[in-house]
Amino acid sequence: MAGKLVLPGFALLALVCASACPGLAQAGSDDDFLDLSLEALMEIEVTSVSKQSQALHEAAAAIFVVTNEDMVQQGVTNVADALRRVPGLHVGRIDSNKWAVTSRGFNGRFSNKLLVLVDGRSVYTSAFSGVYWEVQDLMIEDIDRIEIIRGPGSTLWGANAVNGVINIITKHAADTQDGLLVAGAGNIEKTFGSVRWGTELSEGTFARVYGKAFARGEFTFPSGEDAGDDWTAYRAGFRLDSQHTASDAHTLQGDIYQTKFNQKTGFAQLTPPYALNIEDEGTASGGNLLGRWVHTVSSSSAYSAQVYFDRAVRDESVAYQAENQMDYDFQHYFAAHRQKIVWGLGYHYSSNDLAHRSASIQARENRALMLFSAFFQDEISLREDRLNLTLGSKIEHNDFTGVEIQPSARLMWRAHDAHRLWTAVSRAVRTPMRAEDEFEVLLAVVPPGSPTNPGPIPVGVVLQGTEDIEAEEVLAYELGYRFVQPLVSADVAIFYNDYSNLTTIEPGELDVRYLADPPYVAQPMIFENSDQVSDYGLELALAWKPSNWMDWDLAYTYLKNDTDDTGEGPRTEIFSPEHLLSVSFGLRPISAVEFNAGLRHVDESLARSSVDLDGVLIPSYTTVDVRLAWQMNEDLELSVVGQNLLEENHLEYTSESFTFATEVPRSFYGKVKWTF
Amino acid sequence: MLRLSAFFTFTVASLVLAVLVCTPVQAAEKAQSEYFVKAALVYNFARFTEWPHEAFATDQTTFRIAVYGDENLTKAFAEIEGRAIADRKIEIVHLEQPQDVVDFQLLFLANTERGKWPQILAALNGDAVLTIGEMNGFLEAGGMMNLHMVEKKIRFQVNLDHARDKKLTISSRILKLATEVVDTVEVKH
Repeated sequence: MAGKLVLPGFALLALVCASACPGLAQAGSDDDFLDLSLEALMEIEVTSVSKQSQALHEAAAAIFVVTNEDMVQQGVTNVADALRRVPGLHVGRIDSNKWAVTSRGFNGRFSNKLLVLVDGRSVYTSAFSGVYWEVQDLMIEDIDRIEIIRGPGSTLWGANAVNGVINIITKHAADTQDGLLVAGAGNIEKTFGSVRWGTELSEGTFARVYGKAFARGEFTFPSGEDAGDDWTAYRAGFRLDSQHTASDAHTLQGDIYQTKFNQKTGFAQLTPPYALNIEDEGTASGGNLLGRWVHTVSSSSAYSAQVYFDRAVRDESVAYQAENQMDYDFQHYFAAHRQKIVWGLGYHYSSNDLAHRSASIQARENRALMLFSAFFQDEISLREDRLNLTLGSKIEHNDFTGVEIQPSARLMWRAHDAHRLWTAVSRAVRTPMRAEDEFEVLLAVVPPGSPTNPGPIPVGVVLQGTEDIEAEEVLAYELGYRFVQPLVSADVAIFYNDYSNLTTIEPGELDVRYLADPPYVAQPMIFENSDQVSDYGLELALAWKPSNWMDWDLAYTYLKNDTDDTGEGPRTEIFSPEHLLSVSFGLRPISAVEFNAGLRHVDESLARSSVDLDGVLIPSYTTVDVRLAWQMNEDLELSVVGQNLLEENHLEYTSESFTFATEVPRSFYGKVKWTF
Repeated sequence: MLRLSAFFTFTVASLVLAVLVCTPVQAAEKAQSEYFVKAALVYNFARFTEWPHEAFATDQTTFRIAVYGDENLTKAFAEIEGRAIADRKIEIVHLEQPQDVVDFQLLFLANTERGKWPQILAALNGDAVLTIGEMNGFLEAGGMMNLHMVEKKIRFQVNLDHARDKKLTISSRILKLATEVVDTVEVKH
């Protein structure tokens, strides 16, 4: 469950085949600096190079890293938008306060095959299987990097890491020792501000605290009307990092937040007018606390223990949900005779309350769920660190489907210092959510006396969970190639995924509910694991830095549904565009000025809908974001950002249920960043 | 069609701009790259530090520098390879695993590799190795010298206690330029 990549050492050891690499090419020609005195060297102004950790190049998996620098240069104001230039990922903004994000297909507001962790804490909700991106809102300046692993990550991270894992990693407190004040305003980003301050509490113990708030404006409906989806958020938190002895590192961190969001919600009801559209004011609040201890025994052995508590409450007209989670994680790494072994144990408890605010969702009031897990992974050096084989499996027990086994085998071949070739076969599962097991959701009501329901009582279409629900499965075959040089790098991954047991909903037998108030005929739509899908795809990332003051990035994603079309019934969809392209470049004509522009093209796709089972067509779109920043002096930076510039409005994605299609408008904002 | 042409115009314009602009400047900016300056500083630190005799197996032994970091770093350090420290030829070895650090006189740890530091320190096992890092908290965590940036210029701090423990003598030429020197012996006097 907990984040393997955030634990230093384990991280990389776990997934990565890292090992001694012979020194690279021989010395260059200019020895200018070497003949300078110390004093002279200290007077040279320098620019930083990219801090991406090299070890990631050694991973036998499709990995991509979004650095803090990338996020700042793109001018993004939230985490989801920072993922738009990542190959293999599809990000669609549903409205001002909702996003759909997925890896390798199956997108949706509740896209359930992508696991997301913030500093090792899972933010995947178990009631609805998905991530509420709007509350995963960190201070962008304090995010160190976002590591994205496409393809199954279940051997290490466990269930639901079917098509990917996103690790959001915040900076070490020692790296945020100054004060920072950010403030800005714009047409959609109405006002925003954040403040952070860091200090060294005692020798080797660093701390930071932060607070942020924003008000975001509303989007528009395709009709041109205001969508009424403006929102505000407040957030505060801290992080404490301590290295008391050379062999013990401690981290303690926590956040609290509160969000008030508006939305136009539509749901069915059994009394006239049978379908209700309301202007809903919702709130979402929560907090978390995480502690981690890493103990190093020797150069080839280390332990880590992590525990966290997380509470998330969401109150909207559809339902009230509150989830408390407690997670314990232990890992041990050791190396012995050409093998690197990492194993771990985990226990996750979640207690989920659900109270219905409307008649549309019925469920047990409280459900406590437990998950026990263990994993083991061995990385074996087959040939002088040129060829590494990694074998491992996760075994876990959950309350819905019992024991799940998720093994993987990965092979990394370091063909040459600059060329890496890898391949992997893995099995992963998506375990059921509460909704699939026990919820009843009223999707639509056919009024009595209407052409399709001549009877005297209403007919309600009811989505029904079932205890027979099983886990969704994937068998994934991946192949990747990586070329890494200081000025140019290329990363290509191709994959073939064979899914089985995918959840669909099938009509059940009519059920006349005399005793309900009011009485109605229920047309159950019952969850069933009857779908099979295969798809394949290609992901390409190119980076080119021809000089220190210019860089180029390209990300391309191709995803193709390969399911046999039998002609019986609708074809199973994968709900993601076939082509996604992003090209971006950065320019620093003089050291104080920075210009960035990014263009992206998103092919047409279908969005899942609980009302229209064929899905909603999302047309293709192309748009451009730009940012211009001026570093006035060491402490003060001014920037202006324009987003979605090519069109007045465009549709990016729609939610499965309850809210209406909303278009993303062109937007601008200006920002001041002051370091003190 | 309009969207498509906007897309191509952007791409083509950007490419043309790149080609026009990037070629002549490459030489100049190398001179600004952070790690080239850091590598030169490290070379100077080595020149003004004395190692105990037992740090070298024989008189012919090379001066070995272990580098943990990415290709940019390795490239920069490659520039000092072949130069000499007290008549010993410098040899740069790029390492990735903490336990690989055997038989070196100097170690440079990039910020990106900070997570490996406890294990590297354990593996050093008391050897006379000048350890240089570039992260906050490095000196407290057992490191000897730490590079940091102040207004785009590189500054450094020294933990003399840790150096002294390993019988390394850092010249006052270095110490007088440090922004901070941790030295408990001096405090006791």
